[in-house]
Amino acid sequence: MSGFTDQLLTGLLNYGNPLLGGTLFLAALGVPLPATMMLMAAGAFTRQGVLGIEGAAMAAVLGAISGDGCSYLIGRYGATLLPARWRTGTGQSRVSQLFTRWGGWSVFLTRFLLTPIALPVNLLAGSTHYPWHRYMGAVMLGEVTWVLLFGGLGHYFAGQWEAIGQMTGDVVGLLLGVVLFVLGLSTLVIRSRKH
Amino acid sequence: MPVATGLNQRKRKWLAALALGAGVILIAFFGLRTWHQIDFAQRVQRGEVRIETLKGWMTLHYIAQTYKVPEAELRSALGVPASGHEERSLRQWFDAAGIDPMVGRQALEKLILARRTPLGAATK
Repeated sequence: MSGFTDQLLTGLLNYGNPLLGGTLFLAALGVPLPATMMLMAAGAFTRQGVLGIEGAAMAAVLGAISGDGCSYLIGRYGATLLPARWRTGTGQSRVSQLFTRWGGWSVFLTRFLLTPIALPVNLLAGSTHYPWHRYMGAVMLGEVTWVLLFGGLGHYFAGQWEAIGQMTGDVVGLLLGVVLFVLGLSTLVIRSRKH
Repeated sequence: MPVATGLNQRKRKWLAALALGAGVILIAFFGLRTWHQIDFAQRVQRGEVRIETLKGWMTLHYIAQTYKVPEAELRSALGVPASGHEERSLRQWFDAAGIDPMVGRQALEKLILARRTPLGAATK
């Protein structure tokens, strides 16, 4: 574990839920912080009596949801700073159509399963003006699932949470690789069949 | 129009190839790491590797709470003041008090074992 991660863990022991919520908030905004690992550590600490389970769960959910909300707004209002031809081209309208159709699932699944692409999805949701209430609905469901899943893993495997956390991170990366591989392969196969 | 369509198709083909390549790299990288993790966990289970139970990020208060050993005894084992700097991590204590990390860890582990609380058991 890096020195910075160690400092965060010591901070979590000393400052508890505010630090947990703050870290998850910043991570949702794209700051490269070990959010899933902090969540698993918090889960383990609730088992060990260092943190209260309700407070930690609340801080984690609130931090993550508010971070997601802010990154949506960055996408929505930040996109207006882009050149007009980037915002109004056919590519943009196609992305917007796709997002209207699949946005809910994309937002939901990237909260806990394909977490490395959560931020681009948030920015895309904002820039394509995906309806706020539908976005936040998917975010809330996804973040609660994330907190229950990874916080629960940390709580259950309290003695080995670091090893489990490392393995979980690797599995998420592996899963993202499989998704990209299948997407790329299927697109190329469909293309070659058409010709 | 055919020119635009050709361009779009070419772009799509490139994007698909890029996704495929990135997928292969991610699968290889994280697959290897996962395999190493599983192998390491099995070696720990077989007793071939000993992992440190006391980590540098832990505070003395946390160690006391987790292993049910009075914090005063932990401080005494390390030879640090009986109170103050509660927020310091083990690594920070070692640095501040000039304690060799290996010696410090051993002193604490000896104390915890003497209390007959198996390392790790208190957290399960």
